[in-house]
Amino acid sequence: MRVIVDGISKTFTRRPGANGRGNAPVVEALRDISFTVDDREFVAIIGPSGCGKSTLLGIIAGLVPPSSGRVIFEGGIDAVRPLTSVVFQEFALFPWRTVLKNVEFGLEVRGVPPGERRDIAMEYIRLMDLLGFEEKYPAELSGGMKQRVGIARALSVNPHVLLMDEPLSALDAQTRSIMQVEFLRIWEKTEKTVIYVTHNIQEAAFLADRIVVLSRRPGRLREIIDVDFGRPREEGLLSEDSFLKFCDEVWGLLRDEARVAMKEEI
Amino acid sequence: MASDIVVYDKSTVKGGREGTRGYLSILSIVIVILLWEAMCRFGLVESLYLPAPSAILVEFTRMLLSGELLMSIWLSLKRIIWGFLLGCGMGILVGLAVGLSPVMEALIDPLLSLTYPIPKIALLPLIILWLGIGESSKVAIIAVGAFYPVCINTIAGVKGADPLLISAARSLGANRLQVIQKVVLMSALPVILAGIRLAAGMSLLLVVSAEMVAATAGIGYLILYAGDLMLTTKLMAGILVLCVLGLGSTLVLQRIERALVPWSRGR
Ligand SMILES: Nc1ncnc2c1ncn2[C@@H]1O[C@H](COP(=O)(O)OP(=O)(O)O)[C@@H](O)[C@H]1O
Ligand SMILES: [Mg+2]
Repeated sequence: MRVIVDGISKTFTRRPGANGRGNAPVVEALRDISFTVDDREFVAIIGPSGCGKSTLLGIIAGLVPPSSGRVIFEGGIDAVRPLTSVVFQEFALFPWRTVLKNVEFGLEVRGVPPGERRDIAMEYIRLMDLLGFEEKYPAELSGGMKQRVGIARALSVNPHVLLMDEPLSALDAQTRSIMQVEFLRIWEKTEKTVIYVTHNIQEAAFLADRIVVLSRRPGRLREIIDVDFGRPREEGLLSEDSFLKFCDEVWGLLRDEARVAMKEEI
Repeated sequence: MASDIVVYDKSTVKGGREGTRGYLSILSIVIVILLWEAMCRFGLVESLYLPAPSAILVEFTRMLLSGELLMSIWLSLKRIIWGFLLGCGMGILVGLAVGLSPVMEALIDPLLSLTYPIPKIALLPLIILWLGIGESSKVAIIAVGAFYPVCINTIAGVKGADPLLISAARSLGANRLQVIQKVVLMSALPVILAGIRLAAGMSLLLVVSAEMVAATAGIGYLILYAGDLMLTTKLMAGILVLCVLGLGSTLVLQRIERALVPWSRGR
């Protein structure tokens, strides 16, 4: 499945949670973003904080209406599978559901019968190395385990495109690098189209086929960079000279934007 | 004296010893009761003003055995339970309507804000005028008192549902009804239960007040009547009953909460 992001702009007229009462100052989050993600491609989106990455992902997920432009999904659409599902930075697990019930959620709301959805959920629980934790509540899990559940839940509905919004950035450095490698293994097996938002250049370079660089707010397309390291990629790549040099180049592109964005935040 | 090393270990670092606190709480109760008993025994206070704990316990047992107490408890309890259930039920219904529908919110929210600050006991004369002096007016005043905390917490719980969890549910394919059922209501549940706990306290307060103002039986009436006749021991036995009722309702509600909200037990 190809995803064509075609001239997306988004302007917010209300603050989140203002509940329709009174218009807050207008925020232009995204301006005229266009790029294409090919079938089974892994695309990372990076940009300084507040530049509209989450908003863009929300628009691709069909959760946020764009102000203008459109998102087109093309090729090999299987009507029983959802177009997208999302892995969130803050995990967004349902605290009142056990691990198993969290993973089953998408199947449950789609009307998959209990026995069958349990089997499917268990398959993804095994895939994400969560066996033995099925009956635990999210509050009883570490951050890394929570995000494993988040990924299992998003995969369980077998979406055409997996959308990930800084899925590892709430985790400590060690857990993050373990999960990066693990996720890469899983992705190589499932071969899904992935759009992966991050603000971590190494992460983008290690995981992705291409990196979409956004400018500071309003987010505009700065650059699309090909990542030419071969696959399968091993952990050793992270310390190779060519890899570090590549990351430096990307940082060069981002640095000035990040600096200005940081000052604007203060 | 200057020293080259500093050691933190279990003997030098204080805190985190929860175990002793439970004993201390019980100890303070025991000490107060013993002091109280001693003061009465040595004639430091007159039993007309403050009877000894032992005398209260004896009177309590006597009234329990004679059936007098059970009769009053049963009457008050019946009023509480009906009023409480009615108030909680209405509170949840109205709260859900206001929390889920902007139209209902626009219609009902101002009425709630306007009537919420009224001390509910002030409505008793009006309610008696409408419903008469019988059981229904007492049930009604308790229902009104229980309604507000439950309603307001239900609204807060429904509106407080995490938008991120709603997004997560929508992204997994939940429709509007499923989002309400499986996300909004579930995340509101602990808040609603907190409202129900407040409502239980309010019910006890209002049953006693109402029975003191307009009743010929019940715990509130018993306490007031005993006071009028200067039967202080009997009065104190009535207060003991209220204490037990309050504790009992807290325990029951805690049990219910633990059964309904098992996911927050871990913390
Ligand atoms: N629902 C909303 N209402 C109003 N403003 C919003 C809303 N969501 C995001 N914004 C604003 O849009 C901008 C981009 O936000 P976001 O997409 O979360 O950025 P990023 O994920 O890149 O950090 C921010 O300035 C943010 O405050
Ligand atoms: Mg974001």
